[in-house]
Amino acid sequence: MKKLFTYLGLSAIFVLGACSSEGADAEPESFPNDNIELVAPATPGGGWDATARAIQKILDDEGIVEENINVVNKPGGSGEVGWQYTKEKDAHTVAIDSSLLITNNLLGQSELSYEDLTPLAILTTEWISIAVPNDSPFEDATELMEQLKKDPTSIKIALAPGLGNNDHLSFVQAAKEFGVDVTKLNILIYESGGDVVTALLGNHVDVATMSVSESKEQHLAKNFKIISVSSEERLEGLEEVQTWKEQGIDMVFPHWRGIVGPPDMTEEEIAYYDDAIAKMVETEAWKTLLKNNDWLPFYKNSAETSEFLKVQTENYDKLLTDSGLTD
Amino acid sequence: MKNLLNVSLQTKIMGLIVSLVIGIIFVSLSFFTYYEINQSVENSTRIGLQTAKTVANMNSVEEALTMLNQNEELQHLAIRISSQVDANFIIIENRDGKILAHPIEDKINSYNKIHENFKAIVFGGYYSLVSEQNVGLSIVGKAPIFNDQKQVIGVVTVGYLKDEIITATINRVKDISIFVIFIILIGVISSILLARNIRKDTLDLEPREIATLYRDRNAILSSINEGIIAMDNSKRITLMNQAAQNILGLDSTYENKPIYDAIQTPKITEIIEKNQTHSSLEIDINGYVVILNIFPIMKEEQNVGTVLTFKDKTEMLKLMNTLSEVQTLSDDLRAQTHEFQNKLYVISGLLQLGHQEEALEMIQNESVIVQQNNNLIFEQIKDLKIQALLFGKIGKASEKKIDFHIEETSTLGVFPKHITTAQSTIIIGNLIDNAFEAVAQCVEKKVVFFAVDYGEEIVLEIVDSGMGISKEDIDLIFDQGYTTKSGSGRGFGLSNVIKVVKELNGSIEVNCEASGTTFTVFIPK
Repeated sequence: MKKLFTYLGLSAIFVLGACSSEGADAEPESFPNDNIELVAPATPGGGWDATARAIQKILDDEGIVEENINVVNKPGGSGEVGWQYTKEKDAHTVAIDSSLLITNNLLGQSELSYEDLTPLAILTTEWISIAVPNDSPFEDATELMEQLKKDPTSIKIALAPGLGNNDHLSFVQAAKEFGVDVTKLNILIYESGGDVVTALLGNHVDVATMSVSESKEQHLAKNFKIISVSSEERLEGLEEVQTWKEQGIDMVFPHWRGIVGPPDMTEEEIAYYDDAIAKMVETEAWKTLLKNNDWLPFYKNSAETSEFLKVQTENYDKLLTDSGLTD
Repeated sequence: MKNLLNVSLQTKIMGLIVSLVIGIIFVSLSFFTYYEINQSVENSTRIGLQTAKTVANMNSVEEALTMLNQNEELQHLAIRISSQVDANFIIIENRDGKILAHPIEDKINSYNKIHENFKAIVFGGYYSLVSEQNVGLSIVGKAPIFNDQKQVIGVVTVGYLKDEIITATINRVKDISIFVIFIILIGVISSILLARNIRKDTLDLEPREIATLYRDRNAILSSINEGIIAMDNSKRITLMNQAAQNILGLDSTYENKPIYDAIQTPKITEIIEKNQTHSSLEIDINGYVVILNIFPIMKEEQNVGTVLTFKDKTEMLKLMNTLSEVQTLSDDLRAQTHEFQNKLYVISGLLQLGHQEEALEMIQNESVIVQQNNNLIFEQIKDLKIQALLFGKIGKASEKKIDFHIEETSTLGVFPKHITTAQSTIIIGNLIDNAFEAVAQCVEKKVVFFAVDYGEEIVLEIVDSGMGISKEDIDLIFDQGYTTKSGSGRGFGLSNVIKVVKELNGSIEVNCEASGTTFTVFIPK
């Protein structure tokens, strides 16, 4: 109630403000009419930052956007700082997002949900891998799950940087599908993907869950082995690795990245970004970028993205609340 | 429903206001309660979650969980904090659902089902839910307890009982209710005052009584033949009945206009201005002669209005004339019997003296005259009323020793319908009486009545052998009130005759000579 009134009050002020400042503009200027700000909700160097800078470069180089595009780093709160910042701006500011936008909210770590922003696109995805040391008794994921089902505490599972991220969620979902009591899992948490790789190489853990980009190199170098990936199909360059589906667990788990804008964007503004991003994902430069980063194309326009996020949220919610335990 | 609405104004207003007030209050209170409960639930949800987070992040909690046998301390902590944040309970469980702190001591060391803690234990999630697991239906916030390795080692649950939230809200509403009762009281009092004030304006009458009065008044006013005009203290017409409109030739548009627009006669406006009472004032209004009464309406020495009532004078005249006509007829008949009595005395005298011959002769003479007259009247005057009138007048004449006879050539059929009895008797009766009076003082007392109705007109002629009328009086005789006789209440005779003749579109002629006067009346059939 209070919120509503505050909101009404604010909107009234905005309306008045708009009236007084704009006066009688015969025709609103076409969008965009200012520099475009691209928010990377992380410190320079991460996946989000890399994505943002790549997008900026291509949109600029290919002349898709005439205005200047500036990348702004807003690290903190697993993306929340950047998204809150974006939420308060106008349509000239957009941010990189990922499934954290959904899970942060569902896990009570953020008040923000995708409904507070305008989903504009999904660009790329990474897939999540399960890796075991070379001398692991488990040849594939099924064997691992059998063991977990028998004794969930018997296996040390490594992940980074904390509970509730996609690496963790995909593993839990797979285990749950298999009938493992996931409340008893013995999970060890490391600072970063690098630490997880080290732990696995040093045989400190029995299994690790991380993105393919983090594990692929070591797998190809035969330092440890990937026994499952969360993709729909087997991956290029990892043709020997089975998907979850092939191992009897009906699960596809993308780790996607996309773009969101502030709330209440006009049809025209949304259309502008749709158009620009659609052009961008068709360029050679974009395709090269994906290859170099081991990202996979996962392009969805604004309408598809909204629908996708809705379905994702429902799935995540079910995953997070339904223990799957029988009494 | 009818009976329900058939109550006094006070009850009606009170019922309306009170039900309105109660209705509004009830609706607002319901809304208020609803939002208040929602707000409380929201607050409890928020505070519960925050408290759970705070407790879960406390080092002492983490330590107590990692080191065993510290449950005592946990329990104290949980109880202390729950009283600080007004929570109904704080429960701390380990990963497996074993209860380490619980407001109900007996539950400690027993196990809870893991379901509700699932999100916290597996994913390290913070969340709220509605739970029945612990003390009763409550809103609980849950937070995972992490160890140094960021692993979940337990769950803190902070709960608020839903019943208590609702009870607290209802208590708040109860406090407001006192104020509400006060408002209802104000409503009741103000409605009583309003009703009283209205009743004061309406002379203590209930609306339906007023309505009845109004209906009755309209019925009465329209049934009255007298014209009635009422006006307020600013002399505006507030009421004018149909009769008033008819008599003064006005229409209903004059209502709410000043009386001076409707009546321009200065004399009346003067009287109205002075707030005087007058009755039976004979006066000319807008060219109509009326009998007028004026009553100022006084209320506590203040003039609040005036009522005029008036009668069309001709109406009055007809009434008066009919009365006087009946009277003269009976007088005339009395005269006739008296006359016969005298004759009978003479005859009986003659017989006693033995003059049978003379007596016989007298009887025969008398009967011939009577017979002649009677025949004439019966055969030639066909209108019964005129017959009766003429018989009366014959009697009267013979009493006054006036030689009154009807011209033998008279013929008069039944009068046409549009001529009323009153009209015909006014004309004939008055003219004959006037003739009788004219010859009363003369030596030769002769009056002749002649009537004929050939052709398009009825012609009536009355000739007397009187003194005639002087030159200066000839113009006055038709004026109302002119009389050669003394005394009041007279002098309407001729003017009435003229009025009636005018009504019948007839004309009247007077012919004066030394040997007498002739009145001739022509009435179209």
